[in-house]
Amino acid sequence: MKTRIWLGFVLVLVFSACRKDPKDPLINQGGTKYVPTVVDPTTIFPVSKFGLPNLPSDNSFTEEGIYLGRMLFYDPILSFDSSVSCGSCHRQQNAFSDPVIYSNGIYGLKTGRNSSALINLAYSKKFFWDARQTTLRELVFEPIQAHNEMAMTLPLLSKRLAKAKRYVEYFDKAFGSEPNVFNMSKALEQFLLSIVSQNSLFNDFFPGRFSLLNDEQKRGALLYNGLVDFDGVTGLTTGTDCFHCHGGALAQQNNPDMGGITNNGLDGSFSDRGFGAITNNPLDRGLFKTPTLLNVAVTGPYMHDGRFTTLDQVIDHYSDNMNFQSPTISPMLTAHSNKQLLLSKQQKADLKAYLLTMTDTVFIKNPAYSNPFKK
Amino acid sequence: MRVKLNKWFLGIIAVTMVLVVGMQSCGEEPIKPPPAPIKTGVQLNFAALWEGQPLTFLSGYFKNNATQPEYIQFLNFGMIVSKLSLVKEDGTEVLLGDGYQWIDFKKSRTQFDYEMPEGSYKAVKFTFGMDSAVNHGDPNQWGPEHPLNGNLTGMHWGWAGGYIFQAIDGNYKDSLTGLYNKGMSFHAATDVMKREFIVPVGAIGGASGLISVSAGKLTKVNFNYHVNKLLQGVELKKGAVSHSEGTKEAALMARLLSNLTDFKAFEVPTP
Repeated sequence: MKTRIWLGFVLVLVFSACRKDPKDPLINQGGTKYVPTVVDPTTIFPVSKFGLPNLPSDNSFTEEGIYLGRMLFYDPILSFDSSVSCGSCHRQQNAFSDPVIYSNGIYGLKTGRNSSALINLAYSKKFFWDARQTTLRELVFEPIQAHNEMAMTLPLLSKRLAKAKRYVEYFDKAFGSEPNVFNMSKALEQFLLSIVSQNSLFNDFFPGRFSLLNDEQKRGALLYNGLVDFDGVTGLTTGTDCFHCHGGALAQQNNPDMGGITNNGLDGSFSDRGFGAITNNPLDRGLFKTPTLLNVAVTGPYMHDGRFTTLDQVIDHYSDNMNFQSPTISPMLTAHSNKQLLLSKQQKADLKAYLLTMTDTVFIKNPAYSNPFKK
Repeated sequence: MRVKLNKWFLGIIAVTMVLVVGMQSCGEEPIKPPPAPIKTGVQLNFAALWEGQPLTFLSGYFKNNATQPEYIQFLNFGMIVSKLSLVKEDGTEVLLGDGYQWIDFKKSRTQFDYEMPEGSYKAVKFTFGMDSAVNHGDPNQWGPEHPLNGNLTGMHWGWAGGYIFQAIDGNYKDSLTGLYNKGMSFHAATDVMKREFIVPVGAIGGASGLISVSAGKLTKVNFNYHVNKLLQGVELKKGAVSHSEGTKEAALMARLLSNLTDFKAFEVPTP
C-alpha cells in the first residue's frame, strides 16, 4: 500500500515537472501559461462538399490564431497612414472582392488590377491574378508593402503591433510570442484559410440534385456543364462548357494546366502580360488565374482589369466576342473550330440564372468573417 | 524478512522505471526520422516521347505525320491510371501502392517508388480510367494528396462526367508559317473509354525481358509513352477535340485509344 502511495507521488512529481519545461512554446516569459484552443479543420471545411484541403503543417488552426488574423485583416494600422486595411479592398458583402475596378490604396493611389474575391482559398495553390504566390503567409506581405496599397514597412509595422495592447495580448494567446510580422503572417493565413463559402443553392445542388433548381436554372446547369454540348449528328458545339475552367463544387479549376491559369480570349495583344510576366515565357502572356464563380453575382466588376461590370457582359463575351486571334488563347476555347457560341437570348438568361444560384448569402453576412472592431 | 525485502526491491524497480519513462517524455520532442527509403522495390519513371525525343511543353512544335503534316505544340499532358501493377512470370499481379496514380508530364510528376516483393516480373499492367463505382463515386472521399482527389489533379468533371483519365491539350498549325494556332484538346473519360493495358518488358520489337526485384535494391523501371503513336494517322484539322461524348467525339477518342494498342505506344525497356 505504502509503495503504491509513493509511486503515485513520484508520478505526479514527474509529470508536473514536464509541464514546467521552459522550452514549452506555450509558456510566455512571465511564466503564465495560455493554451490556445485548437480547431479541428473538419469543423471549418465542408468535407462532404469539397473534401479536406491540403493545409500548412506548421500553422494549425486555433481560435485565437484565426481571431488574431481577423483583427489584423480589418485593422488599418497595417497601412502606413492607418487609412486602409485588407478589408477595405476585400469587402465581405462583395465576397471579399471590391466593387470598383481598381481599389483605392493609401493617398488615393490605385491598384494595378481588380481586387480578387477571397473565397475558399484553402483549396487554391496559386494566388493573385498572375498566380505568382503559392502561400497565403507570403502573399500578405505584398499588399502590406506595396506602395500603392498599404505602403507599410515591416520594421514600422512591428513597432506598431508591439505598441497595441490588443496585439500584445492576442499574439501571446495565439503564438506565445510578442507581436511580430512573422506570426502576423501566420495569423492572417489562418483567417484567410478559414474563409469558406459553401451555402449557395449551387453547392446544395452540386452533386446533381436537379429537383432543387427551377427550369431556367436547370437549363443553365446543362449548358454550363456541357451536357448539351455535343450534337451527335453534326458534332457541333451547342453548349458553353464553362465547367472546364469553373468546374467542380468549388466552381474553379485549380490545376494550372487544366484551365486554372488561362487566357480566356479577351485581347489580341497584351498590355498586362499576367502569368507571362512571372514566367517570362511568351506562351504564358495574357494568362491569368481562373477565379471561382461562387458568389459571382456580387464580385463584379469582372476580369483582371474589371472591364465588365455586369454578368450579362461577361456572358456576351464568351458567347459572341471571343478573340480567337489572341496568341495564347486556351485550346479549350478554340478547339471547336474557332466559332463563336452565339447563344440565344434564352440560353444567356438560363446561364445567368444558373450563375445566380452560386450566391451564398450566409457567407457574405457570416459574423465569423466580419469586422471585429465594429460591434 | 524475506517478504519485506522483496516488496522494497520491487518498489525500487517500479519507481526507477516510472522515472525513466517520465523523464524520457519530458525531453524535447524527438526529431522524427525521415521516412525510411524503400529498400526493396521498383522506381517507376514515366516519360512522354515524340519519335524518341522527350516531349516538351510550351516550346516548339512537333511534326505530326498525318496525311498532311501538322505541327503540334503541347501545353498539358496528364493521366490517371488504376490497378497499376507488375505481372510476375507466373502471371500473378502485384499492385503498386493502391494501384491509383496521377502522372503529369508537364509538371514532371513522373517518378514513383513502390515497395515490391522480390522476384522477376514480365509486364506492367494498368487501366486507363477506373471502375465505374469509383469513377462516379464521391471525389471528396480521397485525401488531399491522393491521385483521385479532383482538386489536386483537376482531372475530375464533377458529378456529370467522373474522372478525366487522360488530358492532352495544346495547339496546332497546318504549317509552321501559319500565324494563328488552332486548339487541340483530347480528354479521355466515361466508363465506355476505360481501357486495360499490359505492356510486356522489353524494347518494342525486341526480345522480351524481365524486371528483377532483389532484396535491398530499388530497381529503376522506365515506362515510355510514345505520344506520336497516339496521334498516328489522326488529322487534327478533321477533329482536334474530343471529350469522349457525342457520336463524333466518342469515335475520335476510341480511335486514339485504339492507336495506343495498334501502334504499340507503350514501352517498358528491360532494366
